[in-house]
Amino acid sequence: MSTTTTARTSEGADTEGAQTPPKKPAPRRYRAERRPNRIGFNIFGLVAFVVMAFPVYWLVLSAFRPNSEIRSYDQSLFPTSITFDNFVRATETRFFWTAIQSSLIICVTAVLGAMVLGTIAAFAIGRFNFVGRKAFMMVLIVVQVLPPTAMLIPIYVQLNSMGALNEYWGVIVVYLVSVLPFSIWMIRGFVINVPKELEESAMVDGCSRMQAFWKVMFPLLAPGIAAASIFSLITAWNEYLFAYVIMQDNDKYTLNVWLMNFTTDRGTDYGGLMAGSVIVAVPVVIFFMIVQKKMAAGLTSGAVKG
Amino acid sequence: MRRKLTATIGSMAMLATLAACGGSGSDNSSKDPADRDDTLTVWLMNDAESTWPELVKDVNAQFKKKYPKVNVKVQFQQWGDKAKKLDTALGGSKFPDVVELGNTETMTYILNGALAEIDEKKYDNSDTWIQGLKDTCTFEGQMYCVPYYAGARVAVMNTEMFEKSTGSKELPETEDDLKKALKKVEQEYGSDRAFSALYLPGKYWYAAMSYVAGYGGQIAEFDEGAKEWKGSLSKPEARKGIQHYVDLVKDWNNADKTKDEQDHANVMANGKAAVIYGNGWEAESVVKGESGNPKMEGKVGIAGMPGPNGKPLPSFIGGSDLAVIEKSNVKDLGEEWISLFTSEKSMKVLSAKNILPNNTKQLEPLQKDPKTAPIANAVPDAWFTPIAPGWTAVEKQLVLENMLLEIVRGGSVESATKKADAKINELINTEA
Amino acid sequence: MTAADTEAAAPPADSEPPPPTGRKSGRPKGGGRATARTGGALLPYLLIGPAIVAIAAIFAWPLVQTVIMSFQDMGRRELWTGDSPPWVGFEQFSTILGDSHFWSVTFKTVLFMVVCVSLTMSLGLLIAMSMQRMSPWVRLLLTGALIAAWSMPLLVATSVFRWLSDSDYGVINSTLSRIPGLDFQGHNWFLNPWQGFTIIGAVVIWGAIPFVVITLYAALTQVPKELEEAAKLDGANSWGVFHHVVFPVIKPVFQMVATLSVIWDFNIFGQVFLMRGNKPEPEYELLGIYSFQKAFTSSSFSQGTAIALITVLLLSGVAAYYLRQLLKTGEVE
Repeated sequence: MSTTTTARTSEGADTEGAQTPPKKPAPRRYRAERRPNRIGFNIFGLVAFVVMAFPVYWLVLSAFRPNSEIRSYDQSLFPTSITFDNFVRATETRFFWTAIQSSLIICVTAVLGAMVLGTIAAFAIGRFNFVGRKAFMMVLIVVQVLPPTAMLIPIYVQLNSMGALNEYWGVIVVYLVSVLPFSIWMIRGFVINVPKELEESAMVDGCSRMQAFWKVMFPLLAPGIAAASIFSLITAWNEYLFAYVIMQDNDKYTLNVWLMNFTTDRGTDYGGLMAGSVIVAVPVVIFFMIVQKKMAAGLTSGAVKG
Repeated sequence: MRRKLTATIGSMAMLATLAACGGSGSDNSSKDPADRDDTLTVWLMNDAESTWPELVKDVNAQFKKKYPKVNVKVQFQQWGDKAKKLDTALGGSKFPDVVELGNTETMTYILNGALAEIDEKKYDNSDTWIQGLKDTCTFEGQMYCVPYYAGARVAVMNTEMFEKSTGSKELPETEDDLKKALKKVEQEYGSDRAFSALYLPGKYWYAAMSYVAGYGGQIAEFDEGAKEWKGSLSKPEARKGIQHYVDLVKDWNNADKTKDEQDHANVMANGKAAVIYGNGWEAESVVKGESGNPKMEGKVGIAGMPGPNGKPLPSFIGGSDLAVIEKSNVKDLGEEWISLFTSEKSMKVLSAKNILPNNTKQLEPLQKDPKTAPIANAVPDAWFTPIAPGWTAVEKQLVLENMLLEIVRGGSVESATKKADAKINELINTEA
Repeated sequence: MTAADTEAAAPPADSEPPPPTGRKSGRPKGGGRATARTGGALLPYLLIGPAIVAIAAIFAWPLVQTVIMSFQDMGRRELWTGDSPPWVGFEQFSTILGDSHFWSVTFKTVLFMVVCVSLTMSLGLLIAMSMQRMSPWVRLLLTGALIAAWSMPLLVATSVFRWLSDSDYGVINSTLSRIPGLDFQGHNWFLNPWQGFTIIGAVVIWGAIPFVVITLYAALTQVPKELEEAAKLDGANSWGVFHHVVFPVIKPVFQMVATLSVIWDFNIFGQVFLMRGNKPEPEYELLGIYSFQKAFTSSSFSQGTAIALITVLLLSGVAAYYLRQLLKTGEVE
């Protein structure tokens, strides 16, 4: 492991290092610069925070506002009259609880499936050179390029002949496959950054290939898997069209399809819609908080071993 | 699993026959009703779920009495993507047996052979079905769907504002008097720059075409000789109507003039408009529910909208129809369910909610009730969009909205209507 | 194809176990390597097998079907009744390629994509890298905002942006109007497509940033800290450190994210569609919308799929470039 690190360091230092003065003074200057820099980064971070958070803030604000104020002409940037009516109304709609159930079943299965298939496939293309590897990578790209809306009808007909309509597994398979290429790429990026020697030395120490994978590779891949799983979960969780078209029974609708129920021919219940989407977003945020720790864990373990 | 997959691929090779397979099955209609054990799938729009769920329940209970073993599945659909879902579902083997269709959508499905013929005699009051709805179900003398409910447009007004500025809660009956009243309202409330005495958004084509109809014009006409439809917006009477509408927009709308009507109830709920032109039920949405403002309670009324030449403005007749899918293998059950759902008794439930029933017989009492008279009275003189094969395409490609937008932004009526006619001629005769 | 893959992938399942047992006996290093090359020859196929099967099951035949459809004239009638649609050869393609509107739509789409992708990627990288240098509490706040923004469903996010930019009651207009000398009351941002696309672009970029930042941030954690510091000690300036130490490590992920952004922004659909109230004007037609309109509103599924296939061909240029890069970096010997 250490060999690769030094190899890279010298590569980095070779080009830039030539013109630099003796190394001694550098650390002090480095420390001195660090403090003011952090303030700059913090300010930048706060600006980014405000920009990213404002629409979210507006969503939450609207969810707590009575319907008549949501699109009023003199909007206040701050909470005015706070009401929980929207949340009550949203949770009292029919099919709310079944929608939570469907979303959980579908998304958890699809994400787990994609992570397992994705990790082993990423390992294969990141570690082995085999005939058909390029073709496989090409397939992954092609799948990403295909516009799902344009293929809605052919995919629907395909699912129909597989008997997947109105079944959880029909939606699960579609989600799994649509997030799989990304997951494979993402995890592959991490696989190729893990030095091969590390894995091999683990095997020398008496680990089987599988053990080597779980004990050595997996912790190093964790940040990648975590990022891929967040991406997959959010993509699946927020998908609407396929879930709506494939599922026919109202009690099998997912949360995003359920959200659309706030729009009728007689107008949109924006308060209910906003409250509903706050509720829908909560599981994603919780999932992220769990995974975030794993990401951090993967980070530290990587650092220790590196 | 693997075998299933291989089998799947084999069967997919026969894609073309696949869709036809869905409808096959033994003919059960001769069986005793008590022994029927089919499944009947009904797609209703979610309005039924939000506004008249008890009717759906009640009809299902009635149906259950006759067919105790039939499983009725009512699935509520969403306006936004219903067409996409239905179009796709009809290509597979899991499609509904009964569907609700907006009355401007039916023609597409009729022309493409998706809907089954129905027998008028099986339905209550079919002899007095509202013509505007009946027409949308008829093709070459044959009926393909059943009128469900109707909707007409009226003036929705803020009575408090009118009373305060003109001394009367009533909307004047002629346009000239209306304009005088609007002047007074504007004087009273005009200090608010976002306030419009009459709020007509520029892209509101249902309203603009009502003025065209008021001058005796039409969107398109059927040429008996050439056996085809032709856009007629550039005819003088149509142009007069369009000019009239655009003038009203420019004179009275002080907000963004280039919007469509999606938001107009919200404008009124915010007290930024004294009169809007909308569906009868929108008076209620100003106060309650979605974008309503509870402070408007008791201040909103409806009235017939005065039109050009001292006559009332002809309204567009909207509404929904119910149809049986041609491929369904329980067509008879579908018809029976529809006949219960549109029975005289069911229509009474709708009327009680100020929804216009599907027939003129039950419309009459509504015409006498001052609360519903303006909407009910708008039905007899109402106009409808051309019942032409390509009309849906004209509507979906926003031909009329884009024309109005061009004029509101300063383009000439002449060139805009000419362009619109050309576009209509291109689309209207081909099946969409 | 699917069946063949399954056949090919299945047999090794029984022959796989031996290699691990062989290794467990603690064989020398050289032996391990040999197994990876020879004994494990079937292993990679076994590993990608499940992924291949899943992808093929959902996409293979529909893709063939899509291609076939573009050479036919498939409308609603054919879809619903099962009548076989007539063959028209290249007619759909020649109609589309001969339509000047198609070319202006394509040009607009490319321009929109280039602007959105460059802004998304540069802002995303900037934020991700700054996140490493922020105080933990700022980083936590920002991460929270990113995740919350990311988890907002498209429909809702777009609704919020629509309200903010509404001509009559939008906060943007009322805020701008408060600045002396400016009057934006009733200003419609969508009359002028340049302004309209600026707002739509803002929605797209805002929606894409969380994904880009979080993914790149995850990649940045792989950059060894000591390496960076060592380079700094050696006097490398920040650009040098980035160019020679940081970027090579995150390059695979960066390229992947950039490629995906290109693909997504090129196929953009929902944001435009919803921002324009489900009724996009002709000025707002981008390729995704154009294809959809042809398929579902003019009811020519064949023309819709033909446009989609042309889009795929245009994008495959990007994909091919990416694949070359992909194979160059991190290539296994």
